[in-house]
Amino acid sequence: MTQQELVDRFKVYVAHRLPEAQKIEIGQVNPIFGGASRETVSMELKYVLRGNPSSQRVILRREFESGIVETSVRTEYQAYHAFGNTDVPVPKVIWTEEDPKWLNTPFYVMEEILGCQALHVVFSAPPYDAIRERVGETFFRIMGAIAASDPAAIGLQDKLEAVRPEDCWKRELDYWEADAKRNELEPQPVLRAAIRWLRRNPPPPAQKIVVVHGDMRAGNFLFNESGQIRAILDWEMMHMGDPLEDLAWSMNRLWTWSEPHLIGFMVPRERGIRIWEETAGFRADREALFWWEVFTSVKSMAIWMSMNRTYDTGANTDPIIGYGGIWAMDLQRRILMEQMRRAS
Amino acid sequence: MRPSCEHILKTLANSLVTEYMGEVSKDKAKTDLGLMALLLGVVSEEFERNASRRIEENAELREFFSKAWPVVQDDVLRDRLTQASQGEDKDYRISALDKTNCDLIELLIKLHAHVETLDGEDARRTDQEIWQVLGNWTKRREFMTSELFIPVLLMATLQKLGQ
Repeated sequence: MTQQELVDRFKVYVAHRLPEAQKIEIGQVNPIFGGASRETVSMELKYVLRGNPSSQRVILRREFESGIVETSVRTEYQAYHAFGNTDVPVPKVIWTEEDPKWLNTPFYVMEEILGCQALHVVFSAPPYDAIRERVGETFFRIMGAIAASDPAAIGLQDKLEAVRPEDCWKRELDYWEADAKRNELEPQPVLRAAIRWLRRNPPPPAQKIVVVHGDMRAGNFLFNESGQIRAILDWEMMHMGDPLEDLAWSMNRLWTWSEPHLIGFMVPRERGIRIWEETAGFRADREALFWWEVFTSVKSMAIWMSMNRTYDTGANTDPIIGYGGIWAMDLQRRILMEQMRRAS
Repeated sequence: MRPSCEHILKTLANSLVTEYMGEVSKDKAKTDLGLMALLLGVVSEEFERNASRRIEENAELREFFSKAWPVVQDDVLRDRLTQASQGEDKDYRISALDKTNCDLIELLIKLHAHVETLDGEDARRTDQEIWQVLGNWTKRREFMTSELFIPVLLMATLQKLGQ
């Protein structure tokens, strides 16, 4: 679907949602690129409702017709609804729509948070290096708050698949191993050895079943120049599970390759873990955490393999998919090799 | 072929970044040009080593299989290792070398999984040797350009934020 077609069809949808609105206009449309699982577009929505003009910037997130990770936008807006009234900052959802008649695939619309950015690489250079510690400490506190939240109290208990503490690791590993097998374009001997190691050395049962964000890392939150985190984004892989899963995922060296001692170019590893432990109320057993870090590499590689297959089959030939898959696969393979040297 | 393929690809990548990126106004198009330049860089790197890394690795795997098979306790696997160790690359087209390479890697995976189930010093030593082979396997697939990506992304982002 072209951008113009998307805008035209979305305008029809707005008229459906706001039948009394007049003079509906959509302008300043900017695609936000970089995401591998959703088409994301920023736009200005204007209309007049009962004589009152209204104007606001919104974000439209639509499922790709050929996504990299099989997820539903429903999971994302469930997260935004659930955490909307908590200390975990999330954008406000305006509409959610699963009927494909409007834009071919399900989508939702949320408020755009202005004056922020998500690219964490800026933390390694002035003037952003001055705020990186503050942002990093806040990031680990928010991650701890997600782990400490009560899924029943925020309305997620019945919406996410239940799992027993002793089964968390196996459910995740089974899922991502199958995903990797489906998308393998060439044999991956280090990945397969890592999966066997993970099965031979399972972690202890989860201390508690909590909400796991599923993609909690630098790059997936919005921060402003004064160092405040305004929103945690990209919840499409949210599930119930072991709290260590998010902590390990956040420490993937891939995202901070040139400064591996700083998590997400923000804070040193041990300080981040300590802040998380204090907020979440769990101790991060280092051996169990290492298991989840190896799992992080396995899950990441499965995702990069899916990107490579998507590009290889021609289903999505956006250059970000083409280069992103090759780049990430190369570095993640090196990371996993180092982890397995330590494990073996 | 002269000019060499590697030179052509690198020159194209350079032109995209230095000549054409500045000419486009849309952020998406600018980013796409940068990523296309990086893709050309990766292809150029791979083009140069395409045959050599496979020939080298196929030879390393065959030699390893010829030393490792005595530790194997599965007759079918031992036969496959013996047979594979006697193979030879005769067709140097990338597709043929790649097919052989993938077959040999699959066999290495089977050998590794088997060795992990065995007890004893010989099995442990073979396991460590396999990790050495896997270290080489990883190294042969590294791209120099991968390490440049984040610094390039940083420069582009800072430039954009400064505008």
